[in-house]
Amino acid sequence: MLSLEKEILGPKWSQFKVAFPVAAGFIAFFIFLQKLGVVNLITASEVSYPTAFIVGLVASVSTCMAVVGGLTLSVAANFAKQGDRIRPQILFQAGRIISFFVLGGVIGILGSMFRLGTTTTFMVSIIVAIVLLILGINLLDVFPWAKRLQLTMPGSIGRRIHDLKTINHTFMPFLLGVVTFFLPCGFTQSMQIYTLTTGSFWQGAFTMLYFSLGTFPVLAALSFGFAGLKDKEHMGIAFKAAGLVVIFFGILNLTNILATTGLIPSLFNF
Amino acid sequence: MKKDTKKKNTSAEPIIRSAIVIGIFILGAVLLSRVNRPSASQNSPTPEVITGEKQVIDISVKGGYTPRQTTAKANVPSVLKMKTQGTFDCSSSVVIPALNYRARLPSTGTTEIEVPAQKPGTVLSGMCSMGMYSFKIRFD
Repeated sequence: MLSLEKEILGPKWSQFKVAFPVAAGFIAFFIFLQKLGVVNLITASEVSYPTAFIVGLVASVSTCMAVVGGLTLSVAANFAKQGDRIRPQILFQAGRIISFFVLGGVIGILGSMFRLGTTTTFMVSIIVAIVLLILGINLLDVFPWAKRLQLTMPGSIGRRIHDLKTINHTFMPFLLGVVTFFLPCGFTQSMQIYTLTTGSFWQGAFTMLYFSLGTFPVLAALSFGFAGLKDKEHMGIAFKAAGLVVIFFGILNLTNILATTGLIPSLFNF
Repeated sequence: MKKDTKKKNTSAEPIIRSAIVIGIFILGAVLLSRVNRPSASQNSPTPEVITGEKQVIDISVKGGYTPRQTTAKANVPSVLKMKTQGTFDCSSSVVIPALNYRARLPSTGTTEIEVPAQKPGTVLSGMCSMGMYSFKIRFD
C-alpha cells in the first residue's frame, strides 16, 4: 500500500523541481512590477476612453493581478487540466468583456443605486481568497482530497441537467468571466465609480469596455498560456507552477484583507 | 539525462515567453514615464506642521502612500491631508482600522481625516481596502 502510493506520487513530486523556480520567478516578477511603481504610468486626472484603456492596461499588472489574474490563471489551468485548453478560456474572456460592457452601461444608468457595501466587499474578498487557495491546492495535484474541489456545478443541480460536461465547460467559464466585474480591485472600482457619475448607458458601457480591453493582453496571456502544452509532463509542471502562484495570491489576499479589519498587522505590502 | 533537462526547460516556455513579453513592454513604459516623473523620495518621514492646536500630516496617495512612515506629536489632535492626483488604484480606497475609518478618495483632490489625540507610542496604521498598500504614523 505504501509503496503503491509512492509509485503514484513519485514522478509528480519531481515536477516541483521545475515548477517551484518558475512560480518563484513569476512571483518575483510580480513584486518587482509593484516596486517599479507601474501606477505612475497614469498621468491623466480625468477619465476618458483612452484613459480607461490605459488604466486597464496598468491594472492588469498591478496588485489587482493578485485577484483577477489569480482567478484567470486558476480557471485557465483548471479547465486545461480537464483537457479543454481553448474554448473555456475564450468563454471566460468573452464573459468578462461582455459583462463589463453591459454592466458598465447598467450602472451608468442606475447611478448610485449600485454600490457594494464594505461588508459585502469584505465577504467577496474573503471568498475570492479562499477560492484561490482551493484552486491552487487543486492544481498542485498532490492531495487526493483536493480532487473533489473542482470548478463544477453543485451535484444537486448537476444531476438534473442532462449534459453536465457541456454546462460545466460552457456556462461556468462564462459566468466566472462575468464575476470578475465584481471582484475587489481598486482600478475596477475607480472605473465603476466614475461610470456611476456618467448617468448614461453608452458612456458607462464604453468606459468599462475600454477598461476591460486594456486588461485583455495580460489576462489573455494567463488564459492561453497553457494552450501550447502537449506533453503530460510539461502540463504537470505548468499546472504546479500555476498552483503555487495562485496559492501565493490567495495567501496575499487573505492576510491583506484580515489586516484591513485590524485583526492582524499587515504583512505583505508594496 | 541531457534530453530530459531540455524537455523540462521547454515546458515552462509559454509562461516564461509571455512573462518576458509583458516584462519588456512594461519596463519600457516605466522607463519612459520615469523621465517626466517628479523625484519623490519615499519612506522619508516628513516633519509635521503645527497650525493652531492641530498638527497637519500630509500624505500623497498614488500607487501607495508617501511617506509610508511619519512621526507625529502625541496628545495633540491631528488632521491627515490625503492628496490624490489621478489616483485610480487601490490606494484611493483608504481604511484606518483603529479609527474605524473607511472612505473612497476622489481620483484627484484632497481629503482631510480628523485624528483625535493619540497616546505616546501609538502607531496608527492605514491601508487601502485590499490591504496592498499601507502607511504608518507614529505618535511620540
